[in-house]
Amino acid sequence: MPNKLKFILLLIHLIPAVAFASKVSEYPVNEIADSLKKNAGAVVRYDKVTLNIQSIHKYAYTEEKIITVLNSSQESEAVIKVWYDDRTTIKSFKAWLLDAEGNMVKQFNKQDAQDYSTTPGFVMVSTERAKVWDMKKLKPPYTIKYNYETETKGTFQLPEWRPADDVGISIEHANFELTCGEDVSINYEVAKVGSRITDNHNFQWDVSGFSALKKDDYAPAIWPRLPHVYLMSKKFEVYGYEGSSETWNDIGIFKNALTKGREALDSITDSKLSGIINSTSDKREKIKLLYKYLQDNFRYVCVSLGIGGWQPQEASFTMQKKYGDCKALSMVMKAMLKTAGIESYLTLINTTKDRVEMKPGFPHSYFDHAILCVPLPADTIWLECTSSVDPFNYLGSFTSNRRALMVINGGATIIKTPLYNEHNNISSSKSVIKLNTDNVVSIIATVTKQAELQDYLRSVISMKEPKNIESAIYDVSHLKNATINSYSITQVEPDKPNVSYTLDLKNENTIKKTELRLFIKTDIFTMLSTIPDKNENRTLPVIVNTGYTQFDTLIYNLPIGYEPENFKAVDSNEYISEFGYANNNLKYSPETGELKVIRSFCLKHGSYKQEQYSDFRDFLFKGLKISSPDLVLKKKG
Amino acid sequence: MQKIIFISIILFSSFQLSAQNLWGKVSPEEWAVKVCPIDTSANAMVLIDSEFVSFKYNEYGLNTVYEVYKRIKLLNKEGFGYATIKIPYYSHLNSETFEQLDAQILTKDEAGQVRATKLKSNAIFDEDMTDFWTFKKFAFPEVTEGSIIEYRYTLVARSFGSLHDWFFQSEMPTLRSAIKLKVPDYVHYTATPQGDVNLNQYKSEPYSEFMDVNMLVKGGMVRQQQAVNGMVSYYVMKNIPALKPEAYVTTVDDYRARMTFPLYSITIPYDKIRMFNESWDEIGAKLMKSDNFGQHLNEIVGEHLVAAKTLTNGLPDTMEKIKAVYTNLTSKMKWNGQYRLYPSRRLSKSYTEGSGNSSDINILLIAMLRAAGIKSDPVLVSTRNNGMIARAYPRYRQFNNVIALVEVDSTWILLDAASPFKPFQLLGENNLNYQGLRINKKSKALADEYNSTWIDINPSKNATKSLISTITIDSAGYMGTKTIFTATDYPAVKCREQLEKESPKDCLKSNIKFSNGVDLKDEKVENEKDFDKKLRFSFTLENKENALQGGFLYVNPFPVKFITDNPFKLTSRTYPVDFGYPFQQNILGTITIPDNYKVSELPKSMNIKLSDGSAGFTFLAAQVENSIQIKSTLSVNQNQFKPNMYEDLKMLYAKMIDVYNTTIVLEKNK
Repeated sequence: MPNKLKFILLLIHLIPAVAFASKVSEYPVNEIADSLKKNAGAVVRYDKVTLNIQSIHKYAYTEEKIITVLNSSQESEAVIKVWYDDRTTIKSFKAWLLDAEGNMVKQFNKQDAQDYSTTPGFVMVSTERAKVWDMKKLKPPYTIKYNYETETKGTFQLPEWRPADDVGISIEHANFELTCGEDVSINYEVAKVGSRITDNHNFQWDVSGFSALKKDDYAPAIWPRLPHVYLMSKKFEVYGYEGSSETWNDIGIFKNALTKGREALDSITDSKLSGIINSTSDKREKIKLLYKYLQDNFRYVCVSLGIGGWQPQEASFTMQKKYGDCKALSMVMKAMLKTAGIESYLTLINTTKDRVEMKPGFPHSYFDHAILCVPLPADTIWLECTSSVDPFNYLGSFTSNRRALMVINGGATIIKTPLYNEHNNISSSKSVIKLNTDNVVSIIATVTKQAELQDYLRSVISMKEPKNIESAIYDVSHLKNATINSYSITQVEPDKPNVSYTLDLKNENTIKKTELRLFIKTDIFTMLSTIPDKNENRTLPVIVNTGYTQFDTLIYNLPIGYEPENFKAVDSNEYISEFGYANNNLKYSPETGELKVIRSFCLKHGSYKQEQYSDFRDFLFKGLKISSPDLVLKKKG
Repeated sequence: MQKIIFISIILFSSFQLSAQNLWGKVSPEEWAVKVCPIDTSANAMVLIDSEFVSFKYNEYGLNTVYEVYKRIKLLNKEGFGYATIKIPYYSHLNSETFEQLDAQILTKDEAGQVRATKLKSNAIFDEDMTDFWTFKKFAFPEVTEGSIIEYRYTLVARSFGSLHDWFFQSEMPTLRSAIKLKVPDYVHYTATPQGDVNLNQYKSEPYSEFMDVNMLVKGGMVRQQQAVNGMVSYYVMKNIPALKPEAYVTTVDDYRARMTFPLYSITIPYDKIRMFNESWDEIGAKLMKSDNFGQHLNEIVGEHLVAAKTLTNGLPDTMEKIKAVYTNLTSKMKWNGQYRLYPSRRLSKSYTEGSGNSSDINILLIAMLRAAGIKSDPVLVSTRNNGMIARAYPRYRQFNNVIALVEVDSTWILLDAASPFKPFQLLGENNLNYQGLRINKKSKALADEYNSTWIDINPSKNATKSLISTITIDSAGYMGTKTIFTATDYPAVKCREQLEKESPKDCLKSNIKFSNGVDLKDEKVENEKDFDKKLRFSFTLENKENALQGGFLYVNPFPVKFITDNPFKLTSRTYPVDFGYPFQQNILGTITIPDNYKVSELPKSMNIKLSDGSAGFTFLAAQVENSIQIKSTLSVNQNQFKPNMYEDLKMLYAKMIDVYNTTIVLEKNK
């Protein structure tokens, strides 16, 4: 995918070369203020970026950055990546490695880079490449300093400025200078920076003394909280296509221009597809059949050569080759639906949800993925066209619950993808737990995971590596140190996001026998395992991104001759709060020694004010105690 | 003219040591294999690891030539870390240099085409490790799953002595590891295996050839072709499992399966036979006479010497004088974190600037003590992560650090002024490597004669961590816990290091385990800067734990503890468990039984010991009037445990963790 990640990291533009005299010893580590070392794995000592958008056809970029790596947690900051492709050239590059005292240890030039294709393993052909300089040569702390210039043709996508791009990175000084040519006009969005705007063509933004963010539990996304500047040119051009970004609708018009005339399939294909769908007259069924045809016959492969990064290959080409990227596969699906008389719309979306939210007031080139939206009179069908295993009409955590841009005739409209919350993300299980005569506790269970709770497991199962499947099942099931004797996948439903499996386990902690008592733990399969730390100074709202509910039935076969001590033979407890609920239902029969525990726990999707953090913690604490109680039975007599 | 008998290089079909034969040529089986046949969990495996050792003359003498070829397959993404290679070589005085180094990565694309990408020479770096050794370091580019990386190099050692050890075993499983030696009769090595070596093939056969040899003749040294006889030996191991590191070991290198080749003798034609077991005495003497080491102690001017006299002037007691000098040095000098055998510069300069490596600081200590009239000698040490000293093979390169031995009254003590936060007589933990070599003058009369004596470095037996809690239970069943945490010796050093960077709360959280969701407050710390005193914290736990259920109180006797998971997870282990130092962990508690309650069930006491008494765990819960006393102690009485004790240690820890999970039941009085 072109417009996506390559853009996210350090990118390149052109500028008049600035000479930097390399002093003998500079930026020693001990000069960093203690406040900037707190929670930090790296410190940006100095960052200066200049961007000169000369016209709507090209821009030039320079960056000088000096960053001290304090420990291994942020050593990736010492790996410098500069993206380039057929529109971008790297004009110069120099880097230096300095030791903790600031003495230069080694110098690197442009030709010292490793050259990589940037596209992931399954992608085949792309002109996108990156030059990488791995500067992790010393034991931390050490400092790297580098500067480079690039020139790019085409202004649809402009570089993002984010001097610290992760938790654990603080900033001493950073500065961004933007100059625009006469015909160039800019929209921008900024946060946590100081601004100095001379006029509509000259801007300066800076940050000083920014302390590193910490990773907090149940917290909002990180990138919006870091100092940043995002830009979009009001008028732009790329590969000869011009467009405007005054409104999101304008972006839609631009995308339409790129896809124009690429949707047609030939007549042979048309008749073949008719054959597939003529068994039914129901629209929904037709979509299902065609989607299955797509999943069974097409492969996801990225072919992004130049404009191919943004312009889908022709539908007839995709049909012939039986492979394509997200745009191509969505377009061919759209074309197939059209032959069945069903309208659908390419929908542009960003998959890095933890990072940025699409803002209605700031149209910009923000997307890294495409899906297909099929509006029907009674509901809307969503199709992820790159996956051969995803169930019909299911998006998963990859693209759920966010704003997206649906490209329609004459423009585009903002739409939101479905939310999967505690009503969809359900985990259920039934198990029989026995205490054997040799004091071994054996557990036989059947488990079903639904919606986002099965996303990861489904994709691991589809790759068919037994070792990875067992490991995934262990993680997803929350087995609390049990050992898996064996497992078996019973069902991976094609039409619904459900996966079921059985487990044969042993776990000595589940039933403990002492001289007088039996101590029973019910925490096996419990999804909530750790309570976040207390924080009286919490400044962030509380965010629950993945709401879920779990229902479990645990049947313990215990020896007879006991009676319940800390619970009643028939008992139930409930706890409800605004954050969710927990309950348990207990039934013990002394004649058989069977103890039946039916319990549930629900954590709701939602966002809450920072003042509620302490209440939220209390809910988790209490909810865990009610839904996973420790039960004690005493020997009779 | 002697008949030339050519070496029969009929390598066994499987002895393909020639890099030339294999370079770039990968068999279909090697491409096809997706999972390591001897270890299905491996992320990468060594296909071939081979070395050819031979000898040649140049104008300066006999050189040892190492030609190495290695081929590795990266099976999945987790194995990509193995695509960064580090080759150690002895760079001191250019003793060893690379004559050739090639590397390339081979990848098969979807169409079945093989692409070979060679590593550029500017992607290869040198990284200094010690005064003597450097790493040649490089990383393969464009790594993908299924890629095969290979490299070959020729390393020439300008002199010769014992040969490099050949490690059969590494962190990756190895399908074949082979070494071939072609040694002329001039030199004799005693090939000695160490670790778990099971050779699959071993062969030794004589050879003859003509070689250019340096010869001493009447006119001087000439180079001539001579007939040379010698032995060609092959050592091959196949299907070697990976060496898996685990907790508590000095350095895994000490236990790797390997072949060592200490030099036994040299017989060069027209020269005398020299036996090469240089003694430790000779090594010690050489070091003391060298400018790089011993001569530093002969500096006669410097601020440090003046300070030594001033600080000790008028103090009556030897021990007080030693403490005065030691305290002055440890507060003035900032150690740069490096372990070195040699001081980096003149002692007076290090003292004035207040910084230095471990040798700068400890040699300073010795010099200053001597200036104050106290007898003190250097003790050469190899730190734990540098490996154990092989006493049978005297080589000074084995050492990478020095500490001080100081004579007091009729005995002696060891001092280490380098690493901070330690009480007076504690050595930095990295020095606890069993032995050190003390070098002292034979007598006053023989100024230039030295003795080298081995001394045991015995870790102190005072490393203790203790948690002492008082637990009360209110009428609603909530547990209130007040705890005191103390640490001595190495555990205290570790905490003091942490307190430099973290708050007391964070330090407590990283050393103690609490129940889920329970926070601590009112934390205080005492004696943080007083290194000779016990480090002491006090804190209170949030009373979030409710013990009351249905008229019974289920009390957790261990609301604070040191460990929740067993660190010993393997089914068996082939190398020893090394804790570094003997230690004790105590957890004590007093639980006040609330009014109207009595004890219903107390957990059983426990007293388990390893069969040789080297470690044990005791636990006792007893009622004393209206309270319950909890006492648990983990004692580990030696630092090292042989692999055959692993199962027992694992069981001891499992039983201890079981005890930490018990419950005390109190019931209401009727």
